[in-house]
Amino acid sequence: MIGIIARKELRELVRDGRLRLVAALVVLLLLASMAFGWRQAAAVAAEREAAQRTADALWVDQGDKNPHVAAHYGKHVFKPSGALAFLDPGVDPYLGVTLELAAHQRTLPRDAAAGDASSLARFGTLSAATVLQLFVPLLIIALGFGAWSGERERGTLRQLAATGVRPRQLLVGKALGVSGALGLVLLPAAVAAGGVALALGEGVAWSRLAALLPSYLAYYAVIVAITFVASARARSSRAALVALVGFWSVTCLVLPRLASDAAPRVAPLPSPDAFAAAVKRDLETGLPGAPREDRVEAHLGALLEREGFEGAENLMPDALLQGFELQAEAAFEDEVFDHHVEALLDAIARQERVSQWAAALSPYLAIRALSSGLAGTDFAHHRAFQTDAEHYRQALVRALNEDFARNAGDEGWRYRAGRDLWARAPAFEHAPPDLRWALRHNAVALTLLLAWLLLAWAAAGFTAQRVRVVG
Amino acid sequence: MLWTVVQVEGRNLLAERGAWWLFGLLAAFVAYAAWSGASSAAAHRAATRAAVEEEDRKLADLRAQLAAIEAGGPDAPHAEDPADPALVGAGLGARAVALPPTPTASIAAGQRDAHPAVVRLTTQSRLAQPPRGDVALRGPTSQRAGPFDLAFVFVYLLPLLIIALTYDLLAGERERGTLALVLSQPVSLATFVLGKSLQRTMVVGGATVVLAGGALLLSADGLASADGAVRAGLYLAALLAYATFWFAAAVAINSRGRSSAGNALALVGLWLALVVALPGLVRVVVEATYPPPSRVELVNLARSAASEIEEELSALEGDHGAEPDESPAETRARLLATQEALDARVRPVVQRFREQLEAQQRLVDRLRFVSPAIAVHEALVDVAGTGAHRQQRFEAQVDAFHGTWRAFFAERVRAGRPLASADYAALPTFTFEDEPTGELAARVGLGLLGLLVPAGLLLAFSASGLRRVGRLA
Repeated sequence: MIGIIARKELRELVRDGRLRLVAALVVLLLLASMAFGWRQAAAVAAEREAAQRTADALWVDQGDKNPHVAAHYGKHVFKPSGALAFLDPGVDPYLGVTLELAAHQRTLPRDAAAGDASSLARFGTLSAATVLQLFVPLLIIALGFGAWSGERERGTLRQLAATGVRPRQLLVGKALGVSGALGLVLLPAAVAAGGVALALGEGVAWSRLAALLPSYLAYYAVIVAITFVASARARSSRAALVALVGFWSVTCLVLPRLASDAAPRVAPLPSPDAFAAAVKRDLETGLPGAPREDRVEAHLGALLEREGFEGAENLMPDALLQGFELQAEAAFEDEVFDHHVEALLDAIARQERVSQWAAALSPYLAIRALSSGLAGTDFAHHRAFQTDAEHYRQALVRALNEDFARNAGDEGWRYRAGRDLWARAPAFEHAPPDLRWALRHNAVALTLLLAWLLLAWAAAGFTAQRVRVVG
Repeated sequence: MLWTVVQVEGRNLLAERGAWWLFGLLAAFVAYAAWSGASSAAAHRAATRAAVEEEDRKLADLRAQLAAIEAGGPDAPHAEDPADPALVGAGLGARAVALPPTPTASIAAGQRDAHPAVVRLTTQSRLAQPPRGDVALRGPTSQRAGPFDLAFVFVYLLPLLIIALTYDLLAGERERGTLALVLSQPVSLATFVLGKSLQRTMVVGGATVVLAGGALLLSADGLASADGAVRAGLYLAALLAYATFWFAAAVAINSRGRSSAGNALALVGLWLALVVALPGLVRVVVEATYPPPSRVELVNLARSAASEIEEELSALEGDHGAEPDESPAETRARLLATQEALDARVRPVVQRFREQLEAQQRLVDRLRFVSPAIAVHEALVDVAGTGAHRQQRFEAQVDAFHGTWRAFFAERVRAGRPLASADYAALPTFTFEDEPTGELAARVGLGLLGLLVPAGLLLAFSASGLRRVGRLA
């Protein structure tokens, strides 16, 4: 029975010329945006790899100099783009890319693409994710707004009821019909996405791509259910359509902006000037309760103890002691930087969580967060990159100071190291976290999407049981 | 007769509860957007003012210190000598400059959040300044969604209100069977449709002017100036032209004689295409034609162009002042020279970068006519002073000022002439020169033609359709 209903629904939808046109447009947009995303992602990856090679070469070829001077000269690293950025660029355009790693400073990534965007940026980008998250739901609405109300208006619902079909069978059959029509649209897109992923080659996380599929299907299932609820409850197809388009514009346009306004109010960030001033102040005096001198002294003591020089400072060669002092100072500075930068990143993460919680009001916000999380283009991934880079910076500076301490000898600040030492520093590698990590950081969005799924289908089943057969 | 139709329609609309709800919702959105826009514009204004004032205060402090020394007071520590032009220029003193917000800044946030609010200028090359990274005021997801400003409400939501009021302009009457009844009266279909749409245009236009005007009055800062008045006028004109376009589109679609559900679908589809899809597509075209220049490459270009120079810089800084080989004066002159050389090498790269962004905006200026949503949005950010034109103008002026600022110190460092407290009074100051109001009005006005011409074409197109519908009724 369900099979017959589904086939009839599908045939009806496929025969509708206007729907065919809309579906073709969506497919076209999807493929075009994916092609553009592909081009963009390939260009960005090539550009950043080339930049990283140049930066590494600049580091190795910097010439002979004192290791601590080299630590001041520093090294640039560039954030690799997210694994599936061609599908969903997420918030990547709003995040910095270039990170300067040098002694005495922990900088934040800069050169976000958004800084150079034209004024059209306010309209958003046309990525495959935009089409999948914003346009496909409208297609679903167009496919399904008349599912119940249309039958009622044509009088066929009464006939159907007379044949003894259960409402639940009708609901499942109609859902299968809409899903079939949707599948015809999404299949080419899924194949294309796989193809692009294959063409982009190594570095694509297949497990992430595989996880995106059920996420989007769950999202579409929510929209199908909501469409059916509206169609069953509304007085007419027209009213159902108006209500659904209203729902779409509120959840997809209005709520994201309201959430975007609320986030900085819930978790305000310090102004750039206040942040810089606080870091500068604490570098001079130390964090509250831990004066600078005490901390540097403590670090130096620990270092001397570890190296077996405790109490023998006066007998040590000058350069060795100076090298240890530089390290102790760096360790103190790292404490200050970590304190302030982590507090800032925590505040940003709280803002991101506000956006995720707003998904309780909008399924679009749930899939938006989940999709960019799976694509590796959300703030959590950005932070993971920053943390990796900071560990790398600290290790690099430590290694350079240590070389200074051990090898400077009588030469002191006139000691020069060369290419050998620079080349010994390992290249910076950042491996993006795995799928489970990505899911854990989007647990709120994932849970809310599942909650939407359950509630929406419960409502669809409930309204199907009580659907009015005559208008 | 026309007037009778308008009056009857007015009474009908008053009786409709749904319409009241829609207007109430729009009013609530506008009120919230005005409040939100005003508070973020005020925060921006306060932050820039505080930063500029703080740098000015630092310079005044240096001047007072120097005056005290000149009067016979104790010398300042070597590294903080307010008479040393190299030290003051390289960072002891800096000039903070900011793009001043316009009186109408609350209309549209535009690209305001994407640019640093304040630029600090020293004698150092702007690229070589110690990078602070991007400390944004909002998290990335917030930046991506964009704020809930007046531009959003009017560009996105106003058309939806118009669609809701007009999708059954004619089809509704036909479906209820009242159209034949009306046409049996001595009224032509054209008059009837004109009256119906005129009434709605008046209501929505009036509501727009009242709401948008009220929002601006509440959220603007200093509208009383001539510039403020022109901007306010252009803002209202842009919104009315945009509303006119959507009414024309609704009449045109109604004139095809489809069902009201079909009309609603077609109008929503048009809205989706013009407001949501086309701007994204135009952006893709713009970025494919003039790919945004790569900052990543710029970093390396600047670094390798200046690699020896930068090495020298880090050598000077990195040994923590141990065992100087030369006199401090010599070191400083050399530092300055290296900074100038760095700037000279990097300038052509930065120049290409700028040109690319300007070319992008020129293309946007042409392609805005593709969609009324782009045209009106460009007009609104222009009027709010948060668009690309004003930002690029600011950047160019900052560059020029940076040259002046630097020359002031360089001349004294080279001559070995210390600063006197009187010199502080002669420090160059920055004032942003806004685009002449006439130029702004011309550009925005051209954009409005991009709304009114399509509106006219749509109305002409609907005339033929209406005749057909009249026969069918």
